[in-house]
Amino acid sequence: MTPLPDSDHVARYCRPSMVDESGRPMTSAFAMRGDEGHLPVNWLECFDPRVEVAVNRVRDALLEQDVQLRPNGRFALLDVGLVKAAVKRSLGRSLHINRLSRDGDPSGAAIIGDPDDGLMVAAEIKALVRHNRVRRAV
Amino acid sequence: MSLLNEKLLGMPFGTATVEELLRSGLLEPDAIYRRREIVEALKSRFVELGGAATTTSQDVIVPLKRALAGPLFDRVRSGFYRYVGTAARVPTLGAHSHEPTRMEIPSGKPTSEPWRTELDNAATTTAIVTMLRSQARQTVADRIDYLHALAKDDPEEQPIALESLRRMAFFLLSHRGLPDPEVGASPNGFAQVEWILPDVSADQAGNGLLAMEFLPSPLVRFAALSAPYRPGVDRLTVHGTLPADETFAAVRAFTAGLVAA
Repeated sequence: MTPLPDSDHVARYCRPSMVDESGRPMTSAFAMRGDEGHLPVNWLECFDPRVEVAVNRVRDALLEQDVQLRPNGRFALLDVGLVKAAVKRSLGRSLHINRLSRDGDPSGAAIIGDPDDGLMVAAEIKALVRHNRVRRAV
Repeated sequence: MSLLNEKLLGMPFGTATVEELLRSGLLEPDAIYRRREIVEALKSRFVELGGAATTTSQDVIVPLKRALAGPLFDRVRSGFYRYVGTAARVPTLGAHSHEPTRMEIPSGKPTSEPWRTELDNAATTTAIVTMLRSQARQTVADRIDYLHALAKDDPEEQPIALESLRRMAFFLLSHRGLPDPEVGASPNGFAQVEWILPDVSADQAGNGLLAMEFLPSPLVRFAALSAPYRPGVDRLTVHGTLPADETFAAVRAFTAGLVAA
């Protein structure tokens, strides 16, 4: 699993139950399940340096994997270096954001951490997602 | 129960644990109990909820003594105590097979508001939604309705565990000064709420937030931060897992800003 460069970005698909009424992803969108140690994301620069083009390619890649993208779902765009620095600062632990190819999707990646810290990690990530870093899922 | 085990194992049996277990409806208000009955009931309920099976009566006695000397109990005579009850009783957790024998029939004196009993008895998500609606938490009720419908229609969405939802409702109705939070489902299928904190920084650095995940036990997992991370800028952060009332105390620095907002 290759670490992604700190200067790159990932997109996290947020299901409707994890998006608030104004369309912002909630903290729960970035929390790991209790029995998992990673959060699936997609690496944008894998497809294109232009954000909108890359997000479209991610959309296509997820649909090819039969992920059901919903109208009330959202993509949150995350800065790899900023997320890692935020978690390191508040929890004193390193978070890894690595390539994790799945189903032939070259953009497959994951945020890897300790599920016990899940809610604080999720809160740190959510706080970094401003309105201009959110895209509609479909 | 694995999650519960994970969270309660190692949790010291302190006064806060005693108070939280009592709030879960373990004892009947206004009834008289032998001290050893209370000890056994607390120990059994603690283990039942996933606490260390090696918990001994001795572990319980010391913190219980502090509770017995406080406002929750009246000493009737040596070794016998009347349980006065708590003002903020939280819902019961199901089976009561370990409840101690009552030595007196309760007087019937009302010890809590009707909504607490109704919430305790709510057996469905719809019943909890109705309760929230009737108690001026309309926005929260509407959102839970929406999440409930999502879980029914979309196989990728999971329903929120009823006990978790009940505990969330209890918290919000017990802290009516808090504005309506955003409500969602955690990846574990529990109710999760969050409040966006007002941005009070001079340079509009962004909003902090307070998030709580209600476990189907007396515990709440919480995380709060006063502002988003920025290199070299100090912030307030706090996170942990505590009983509901202690959670409220632990995040008071953050809720104060919410109420004033």
